[in-house]
Amino acid sequence: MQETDKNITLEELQAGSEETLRKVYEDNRSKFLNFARRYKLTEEENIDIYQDAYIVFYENIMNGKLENLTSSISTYLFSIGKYLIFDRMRKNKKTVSGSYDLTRVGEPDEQLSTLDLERSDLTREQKLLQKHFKDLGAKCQELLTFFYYRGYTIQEIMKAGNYNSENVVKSAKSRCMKTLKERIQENTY
Amino acid sequence: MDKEQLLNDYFSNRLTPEQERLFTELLETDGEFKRQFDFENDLKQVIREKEAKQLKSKLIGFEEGIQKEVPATAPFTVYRKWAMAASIALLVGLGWLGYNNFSGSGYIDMYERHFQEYPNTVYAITRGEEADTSLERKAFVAYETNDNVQAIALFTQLKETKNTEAVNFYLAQSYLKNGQAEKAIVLFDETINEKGEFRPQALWYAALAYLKINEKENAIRMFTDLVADGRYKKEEAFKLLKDLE
Repeated sequence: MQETDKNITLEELQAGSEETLRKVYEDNRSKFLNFARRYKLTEEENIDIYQDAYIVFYENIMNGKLENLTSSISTYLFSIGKYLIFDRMRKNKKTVSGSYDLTRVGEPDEQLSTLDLERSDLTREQKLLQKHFKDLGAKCQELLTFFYYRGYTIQEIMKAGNYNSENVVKSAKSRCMKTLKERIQENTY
Repeated sequence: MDKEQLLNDYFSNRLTPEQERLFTELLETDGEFKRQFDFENDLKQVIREKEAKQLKSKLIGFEEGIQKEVPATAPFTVYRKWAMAASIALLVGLGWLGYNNFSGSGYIDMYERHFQEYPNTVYAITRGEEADTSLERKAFVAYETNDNVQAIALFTQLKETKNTEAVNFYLAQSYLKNGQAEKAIVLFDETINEKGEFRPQALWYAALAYLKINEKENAIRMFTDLVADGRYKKEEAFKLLKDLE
């Protein structure tokens, strides 16, 4: 495992190739599942939680909140996973036996404090927005994803999306946003 | 300060503490700023959701690949997989029975014909896990590689701290593979009495172990319970019961 971590850099993760994604998934999977088994959820739930922990980890790599890996990838996955497991247990209303300290459920480990962990169901407005976002052109979707998901600055978007200048990015972005707003308004009347 | 720039900096996680204060203040006092922020923040959530969904379906794909490649990772709580495994075993078993037409040359023979070691369905041993030096892993590696003496030693050690149904069951399996049927029976009994997931499997193997030591009545008792349980090798047990009687 350590070896794997050394071989996989933050940049490779951010590049997000299918191969890297799969490798990291496979390398940490059984270790995670063994760790999760002590909490007595079903194996299917454990796999589901592993995937969700992986998604949270990956999102925070992509949006730059995890700027450097101070621990091994599995350590991050465990911490996120533990948080998600407790969350799941609370939702399942399962009693937690033994020495698990439920008072800490709401507080993720310290290293997670800066990460985005929560993902709640979309609101009505968000669902409407979702519908119209899908109908945007590919270039608009890409630009907005760079901006809101990756947390890129205008300058970074210029490089990543091959735009000629920052102003081109800015006006493209406001056009995309305008289209979105207009379509939503058309639909609400 | 340009409000648009402030929002941009917020979404690229670049607000200075001073800007953060201004940002919070504007959210409370400036209705238009708040509306614009809500809209952009909603958009952010929508994109996060979309990206998460895409990644999730990729991971589900990886998972399917793994489950196909290493059936040992199938958890023992998945009844459907049990059913599949059991019906395949049943088909093979029945076919074999029909083909060989029970010769009646003693119960050991019957044991030999039906004993097939139970696969490791509990602990996934995959590549790239060399750093995992847990006792559990070592025990299952020994089990899978038929190093029975080693497996017995490791599962016995594991049982001291982790006396679970699965550990008991695989320790019993290891004894049976190693030709120590009596020892296996004691442990299978423990598993049977747990009344958990492994009960029907334990009944099947306990019955076979009794056959091996020529204890017909006990074998019949186990097969009868197994047929009543109905979760595993029911028809095969039924057929063997008939043969025994």
